[in-house]
Amino acid sequence: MKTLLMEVFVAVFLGMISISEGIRLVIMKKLYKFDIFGPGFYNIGLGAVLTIISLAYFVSERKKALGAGGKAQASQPVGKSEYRKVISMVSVLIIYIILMYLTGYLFSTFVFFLMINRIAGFRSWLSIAGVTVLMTAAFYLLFVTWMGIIFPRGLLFNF
Amino acid sequence: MDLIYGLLNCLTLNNLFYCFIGCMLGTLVGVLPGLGPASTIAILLPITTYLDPTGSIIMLSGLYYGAMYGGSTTSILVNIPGEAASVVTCMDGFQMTKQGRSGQALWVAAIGSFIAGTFGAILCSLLGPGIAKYALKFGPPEYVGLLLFSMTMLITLSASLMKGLLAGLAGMVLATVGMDPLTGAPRLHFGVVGMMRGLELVPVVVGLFGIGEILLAAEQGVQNIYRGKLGKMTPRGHDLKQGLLASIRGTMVGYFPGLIPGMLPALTAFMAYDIEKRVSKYPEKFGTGVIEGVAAPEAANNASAMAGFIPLMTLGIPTSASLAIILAALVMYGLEPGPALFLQNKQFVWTVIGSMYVGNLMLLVLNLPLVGLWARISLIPYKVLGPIILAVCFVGAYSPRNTMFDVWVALIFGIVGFVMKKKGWPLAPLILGFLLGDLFEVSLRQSLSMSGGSLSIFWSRPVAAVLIVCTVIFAVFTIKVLRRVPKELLVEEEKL
Repeated sequence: MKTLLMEVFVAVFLGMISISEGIRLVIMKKLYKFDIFGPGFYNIGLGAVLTIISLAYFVSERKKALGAGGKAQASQPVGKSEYRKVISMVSVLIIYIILMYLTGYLFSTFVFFLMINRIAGFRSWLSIAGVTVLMTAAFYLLFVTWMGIIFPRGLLFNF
Repeated sequence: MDLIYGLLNCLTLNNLFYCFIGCMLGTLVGVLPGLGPASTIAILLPITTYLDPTGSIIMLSGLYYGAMYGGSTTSILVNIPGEAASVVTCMDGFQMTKQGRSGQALWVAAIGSFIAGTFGAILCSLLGPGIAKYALKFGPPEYVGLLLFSMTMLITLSASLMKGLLAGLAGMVLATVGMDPLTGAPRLHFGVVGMMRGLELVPVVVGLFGIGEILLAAEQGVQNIYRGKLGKMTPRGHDLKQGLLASIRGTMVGYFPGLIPGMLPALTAFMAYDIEKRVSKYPEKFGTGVIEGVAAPEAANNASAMAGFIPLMTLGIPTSASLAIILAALVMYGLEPGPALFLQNKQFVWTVIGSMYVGNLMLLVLNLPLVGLWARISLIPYKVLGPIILAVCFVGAYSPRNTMFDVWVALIFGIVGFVMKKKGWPLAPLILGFLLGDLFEVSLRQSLSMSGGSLSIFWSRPVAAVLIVCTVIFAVFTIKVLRRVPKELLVEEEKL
């Protein structure tokens, strides 16, 4: 039930945002008279359909749950350690992006691989270091040297 | 003549190399359970911007149909479908492995795939130009009909119709972020400068499929292994005859539905298996290791994959998530998908079609003698693949516009993708809605401007009217077909 409510809330919220943006654009319609339909109505229409289907989805899922003896959707039990791994990965990605602003591509990629290889399941620090150096070098050669992609310059230093 | 020219063009060293890489990667992706062609094409998409467009599309196409070949390997050997389209192959393929006949099953799957792939390439050469010529007469109302028709795919991309529709609509709302394409009015930007430019397709796709998939794999643990023997490779006598005949029947069953949006390879494979069972003299033996049970679905899923290139190239309609990403690639290279593609970029189109013939031959060579190697590749654990894929996703999201905003977008959509997969929500409809949303809005508003706001324009133009009627018919038809498909198959399709 909790999951269903959350799902419906997100969908209705998205629909409502679309509708409110549409209304704002309809009020501003004088700016683009040449377009009969205008961008606002499209957003209102989309938002309305999304909201209606979300509510229909809620009703149908609720009926199903009641039909199955009042039991709501049972979510899969997930261990804390499994979620911890996902949260760690996301945190490493955030750190990677921030480091990229501060130190440039090479250093941040090295730190990223160092952390992510540990989280991914490598146990020995020696193998982590070896794999990290190899991966960083391969990525630098491929994307920076060969493909010539220009990454942001670091604010503190640039490697 | 055009085809010969395309074939010759494809035989240049560069194009052969891209075709080979595409087929190799496709087979690899097909072999590795959990990593689907849509995700891989999405991950590679930004990298291909640095390559020549023809070579890139040859590579991405090879990857797509190569995955259909490779998908059978793990289905047969370890009862884990590398691709959703190979789910049905498990039923008899794994039974054949248990009986020590896995070599024969792999042989017939490869030959069936080759027959279907080559047949698909021939029909693509024959039908493509005609359809494109006709479609050139299309105006905005016809495009609305066409886009509505392709949106029927939303129904089949999810195990739940409602979830598919909701995800598709959410994608369409996300497509409206940024400047309105007709008036330039900024929408849904919340004062963020990056959002005023709109959400770029690549970071969204890379996030949802690439990052989301790795996060999910991290949560679920490392993939499994194969340590068996292949046995005798070539089937003989009755098995050979039945296998080849079933391949031809599977090709026919898979090809024509494959032209319709929403008729995914996984569904046509199921249809082919179902039909094969009905025409068989021994239907009760299906599921116990019958060679037709491998040949027919494998041929069908390959035929459908190849058929999907016709609506993609001639009308700009993708019939599956992978083809939707190839469509995005075409747009990214500045090639307008649709009827004009055949006229304005003749050399490109025919080279890609030519590459399909070459690619199918390459895949046959790659899949028959090297099958043992592919079987062992499924040993690669996610702890090696995961970090590499994440770093490629990062570059992939950044490189199209060289902005860090897109990397944040990819990360956010990665989390969204993970949560959606975890909660059983399909990703493909969201991408489809996002991809088609813009074009649909422009065509709809242009049509209404033409008619002074009246909806009658869609009924007064015969082609538009026929397409809208077809949309309704196919929607009903698809829902009926889906009722006969096991729910588990659709859930599997969502996952991959």
